[in-house]
Amino acid sequence: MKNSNLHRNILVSSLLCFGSLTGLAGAAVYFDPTLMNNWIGPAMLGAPPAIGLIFYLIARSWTKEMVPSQDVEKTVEPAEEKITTGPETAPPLDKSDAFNHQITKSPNHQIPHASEIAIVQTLGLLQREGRLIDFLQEDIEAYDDAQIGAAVREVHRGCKAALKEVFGLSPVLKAAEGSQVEIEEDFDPTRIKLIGNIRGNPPFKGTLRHCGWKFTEIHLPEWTAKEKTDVLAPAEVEIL
Amino acid sequence: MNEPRYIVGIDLGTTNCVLSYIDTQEEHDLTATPINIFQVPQLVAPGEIGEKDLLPSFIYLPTDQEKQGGRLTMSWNPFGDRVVGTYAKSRGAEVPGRLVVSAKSWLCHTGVDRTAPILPTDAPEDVQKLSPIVATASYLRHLKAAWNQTVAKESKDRLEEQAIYLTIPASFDAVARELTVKAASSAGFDNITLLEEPQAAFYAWLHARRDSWKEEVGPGDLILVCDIGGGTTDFSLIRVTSEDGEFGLERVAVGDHILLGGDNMDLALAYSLSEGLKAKGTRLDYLQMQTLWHNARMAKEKLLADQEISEVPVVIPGRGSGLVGGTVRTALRKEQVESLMLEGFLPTCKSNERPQHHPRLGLQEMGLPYVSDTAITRHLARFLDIHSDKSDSSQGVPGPTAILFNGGVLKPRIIRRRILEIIAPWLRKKGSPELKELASPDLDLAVAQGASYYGLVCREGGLRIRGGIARSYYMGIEIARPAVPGLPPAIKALCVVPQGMEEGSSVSLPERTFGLVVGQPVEFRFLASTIRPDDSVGDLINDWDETIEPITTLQTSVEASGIEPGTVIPVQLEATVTEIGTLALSLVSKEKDLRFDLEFNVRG
Repeated sequence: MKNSNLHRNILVSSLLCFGSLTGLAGAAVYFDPTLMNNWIGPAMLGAPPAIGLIFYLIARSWTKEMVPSQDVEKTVEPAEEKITTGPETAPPLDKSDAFNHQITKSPNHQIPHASEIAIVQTLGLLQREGRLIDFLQEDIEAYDDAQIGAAVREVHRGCKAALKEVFGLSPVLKAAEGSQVEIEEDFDPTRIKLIGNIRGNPPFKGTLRHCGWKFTEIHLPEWTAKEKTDVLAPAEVEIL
Repeated sequence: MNEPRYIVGIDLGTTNCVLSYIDTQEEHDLTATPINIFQVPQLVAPGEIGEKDLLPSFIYLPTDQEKQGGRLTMSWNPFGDRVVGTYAKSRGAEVPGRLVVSAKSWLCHTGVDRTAPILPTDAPEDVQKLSPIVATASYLRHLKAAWNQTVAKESKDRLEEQAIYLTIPASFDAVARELTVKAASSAGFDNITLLEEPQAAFYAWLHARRDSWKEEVGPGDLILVCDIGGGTTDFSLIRVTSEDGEFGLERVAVGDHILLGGDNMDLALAYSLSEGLKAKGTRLDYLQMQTLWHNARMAKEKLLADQEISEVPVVIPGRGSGLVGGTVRTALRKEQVESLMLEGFLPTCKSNERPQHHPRLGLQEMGLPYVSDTAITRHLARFLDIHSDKSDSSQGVPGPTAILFNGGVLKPRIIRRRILEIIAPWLRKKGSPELKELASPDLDLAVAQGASYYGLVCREGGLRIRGGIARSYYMGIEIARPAVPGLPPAIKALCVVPQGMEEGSSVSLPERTFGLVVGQPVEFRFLASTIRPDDSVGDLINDWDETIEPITTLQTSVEASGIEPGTVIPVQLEATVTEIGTLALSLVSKEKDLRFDLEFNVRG
């Protein structure tokens, strides 16, 4: 379903539909001009275009609504693995109904891009739960290992919990590192990287050096904010 | 068939709410139907909605600035003025004056007006406070809206149209039950049934065991349900009976309301650690205290899970963006956990020991009536001592024979074993066999699951726990005698509702007639007891010391059209235990065909 096509279809069909209604109303007024003398005539003439306009505006905001959710699906598509939790990453349309009034009010606001949302959410979560950005941005040269180790404990605990909440992770190859594995003829080079002394064509035999990581599911919370944001963690000011 | 599609159990906990449900269209054999846990959508951060099986029972009241931009809205809360759940809990830790906590404990606190907006107690002036009833209703409203948006495809599947089983502590008296029903009805639930939490936990065990439960307990067994939640501790005794060869279950006793739970234990550990840091010159602010509380809990769980570990590091990261530089290190030692947690909350004690009452000095801040003795085991000793004697005389069971634990605090095996070890000598002394531990299906979710299963039993038939009302109730009657200066007038207690009265039944006091003056408001003292099972309707008790406790007053305004104000009309008291588990009292005039419903005074 192409978004612009849908857009055009809605526009054309609503024009056709409401144009013909206006025509019918015009004919009625032509045959009985007294209709124009009370409220019925103007109402009959005016209502279809007015309803048409409202309908078009609503339809337009609807299709706009769908842009970010479609992109979320796209960004996770290349990652091969089946996403078991599609509905969570792409919020169903009816959930956003309640926000329609806000959108029709300010149609020119900037809609955040889906990949940006995913970054803000993931980095924001790792910072919120595990202070990851604080840790990476800090100059740790001055501190001894014990102090760093203590801080890492907290970063590790928080980030691990955050990862577990949002992603299902599993190794690409479920074998012990150091063990012998066989590489099939039609192996997928995006999943298995061969290193060392590669000669000829597969099948190969080799030693598993790193089992790799893949995600099995993504449970990013539904993102409801409508405005663009560049904030990963807000500044904190304590009012005393 | 007009019966609702879903059977829903709601555990409205002090710190977390859980909603479980059975879809009756899912399976033909309903006893094999799985009990589902509803994943509750809730704000996890501003502008982010996640789904979790627990809805933390916290309400955050945001500032006007926070409300702008729509980052606190949910589709059913378009202005974002009351945030419920995970984000409320974490945000409230940063702004404590705007956080409503423990609404459930306030709901059963007789010292305050429970209909008045009093929460949060220390809120700034610009915050619109909530009453305990409104706060309780907010959790239910959140669950309702969340369900209706995600599960209900048709209007008949809406949550308020389903059969709802709401759990309450067994220690909730008639007033707290009534208020819970009021909160539910203000959230739009008119079709609810109340169920005591320890019973719900037992139903969850029955469901998990299916038919094999009879292999674990049999007639004559007395099961102690020991439910230690985040903020409250609740005990119940359930007896297995046998009538004409059929098994039966009867709840024979419930304990008093004890405001003591897992949170107290973790807080005690956190304070001990912060004292240690203070001695070394590091002072923690209230936010670091929150982190310490949280991390001390996890360190405690680690220590309790593995006997080999003697120390677990506890880290409080720096507050600013300088994480490593500001990190404060300390460690929780095994001895600390043992001395604070085990000796402080679960000390070894004798079966005849009683909780110690420390007299409180001076003025107290308006707050919850926390217990003065933190020893859960002494509360348990008191409970068992009072109630086991009773079973001794009637059934020949000197004490409990089995125990079912509930509550997240009891996850570490060492804590459950500790409680068993403390009870063991009490039972040995009486010549009873050792306690058998019944394995809970899930210490966190059992209450909600059990509530759904109870709903299924109500609909499809099956074994129900009998027991009726857990307390006997009394009206206070002033004794006519010459006034003595300095002595309050003596009060006799007239038993109006006997313990064990079944749901759906009524009693009246035919031999006692009260005179009501038309046009004048009436007020009675209302009292209750959990430990006088042998009183029956109409008994007048002169000397009741501490066995009966006043809970509130009952009021009604006597207005009758066509009767001259000032006329005295004779009335009789009628008491009904409703099907849903609440108590209704009214004054009835048969000759004038009038009925005045008595209302609980909940204004403290």
